[in-house]
Amino acid sequence: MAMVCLNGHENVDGAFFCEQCGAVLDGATVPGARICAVCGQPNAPEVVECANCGTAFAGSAVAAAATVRLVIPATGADFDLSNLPEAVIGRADPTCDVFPEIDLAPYGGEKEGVSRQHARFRRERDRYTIEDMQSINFTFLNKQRLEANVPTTLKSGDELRLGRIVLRFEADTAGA
Amino acid sequence: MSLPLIAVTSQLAREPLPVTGAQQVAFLLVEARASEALATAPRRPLNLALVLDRSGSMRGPRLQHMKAALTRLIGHLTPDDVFALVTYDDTVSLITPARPADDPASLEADVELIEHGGGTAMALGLSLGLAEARKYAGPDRLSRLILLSDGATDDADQCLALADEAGAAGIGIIPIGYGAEWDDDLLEQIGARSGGPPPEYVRVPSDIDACFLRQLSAARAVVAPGLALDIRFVAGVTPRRVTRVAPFLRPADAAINERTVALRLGDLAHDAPQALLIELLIEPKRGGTFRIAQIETSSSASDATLLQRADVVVTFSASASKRPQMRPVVVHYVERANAARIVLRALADAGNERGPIAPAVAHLFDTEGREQIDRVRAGLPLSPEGRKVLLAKVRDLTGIRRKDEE
Repeated sequence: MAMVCLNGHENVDGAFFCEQCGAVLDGATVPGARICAVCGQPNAPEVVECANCGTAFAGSAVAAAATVRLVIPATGADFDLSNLPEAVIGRADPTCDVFPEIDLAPYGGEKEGVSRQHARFRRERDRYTIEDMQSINFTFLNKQRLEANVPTTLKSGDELRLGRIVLRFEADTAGA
Repeated sequence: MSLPLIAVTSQLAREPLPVTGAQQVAFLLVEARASEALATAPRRPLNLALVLDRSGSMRGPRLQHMKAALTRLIGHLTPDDVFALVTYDDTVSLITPARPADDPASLEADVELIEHGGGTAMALGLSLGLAEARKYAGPDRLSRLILLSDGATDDADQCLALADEAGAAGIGIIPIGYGAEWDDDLLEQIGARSGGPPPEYVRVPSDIDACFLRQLSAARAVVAPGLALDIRFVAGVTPRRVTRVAPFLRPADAAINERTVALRLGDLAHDAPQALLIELLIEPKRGGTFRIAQIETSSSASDATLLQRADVVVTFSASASKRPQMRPVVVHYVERANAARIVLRALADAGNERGPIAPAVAHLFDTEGREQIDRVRAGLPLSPEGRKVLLAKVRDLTGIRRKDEE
């Protein structure tokens, strides 16, 4: 039974990533390793200190497995970003065939001035970024307006405002 | 028996492996780490030879910054260290013959003698630098040769032969590419064949200072020089690919044949593990627990306690209800090793037909790396600088930063 990736490449049984194009195959969706913020060493998610440099990780192991998220403080709603290398934040509009990963339509996105594709969240090797996607009502980071198309580093506790919707970014990173 | 000085551990990306009745691939991560006893043992002094490009293109800021950086480096040597300095253009100059660094002022005066010249004949410089390094090579000192190049050379074959000689003599060559015109393939091979690291890319002249000091501190951190691994597999288990994943990413520099993997890992530092990922093809097995491989570690240091053996034991399960335990650390390396291979293959095939690169690959890189990958995906050529940036980011995909680095 060969494993076929989304681009149609065949892979040997037991592979996690397509050899031809690098796409994720079924079975590779495991909790991410904890990358030590000090030395870069990947660690098992349940460990409490880095196996290489001994840096203590913040938070309990259970909390650490999925603790990158966006919270809407006004409603208490939260979006788990832990398994998303990249996510568009906006509001779904089926008539335009736009379905962002983080959909603010149910939270009054249209009325509050959220564009269909408003901002892009990205996970990079050792940081998270937010980038305004030329939204009409702009993206604000800690009350500062972001220039469009320029990724800006996020840190835990940062406040984002898309149109009039306020979100808080929370990340429990190793060694924090 | 005392505790082993080097801890060698191995784990599969998932276990138990399923009994499928068919051939399957499995990923084995092997890590070697210095024990605390070894980490606190006294270090060997250094036997350091520098072979530096002084071709015409070095004129100006490049040469000025390099000389200033040399002076700083000399200031960090101890009287037990040995220092030699060779410069080359199309001729070669022995600025400082190998000697103990017990008179820094005179070494610094030597640095002032460096002037820019004409062409580039790297093999001449390398040959003389190696001869100087050999004078003090031996178990009492850690030997390193720093090779700085800022351009292409036409004696690549001789350079590679010298890199092999250096490797055999236990003198690891640390290649440094200065500016964007050096030969990335040649410097990578010189590093690999001598048992040294991949080239360090110094993009702007003022960064050379930090680069020299980083190399010095990396050399001081070495506790087991010339670490080598020999892995033997049982019948029905075949190594298919080997990728070094720590302290840097370097695909397939192992001698692989059907049953064995032999790999020179180079020097083991007290604060950075050496790790390699081995992709295995496993023939159909029945359920049960089997030894699939034996790992043997050795070091060029004559210390017999550094020699060790470890078994790799794996469980196969036919029970569908027993879900395998996933090991995220191994999967982390599997993903990056695969991505590196795809990007390197795309770079090697530049201009030819190439397969798609999934977005998941580009996501592993930072913004600068992604820009270059987007160009590759679009079939656009990379600038020499863009290519070097991307290669450096590939090497660093799984990079471990040492404690005394920033």
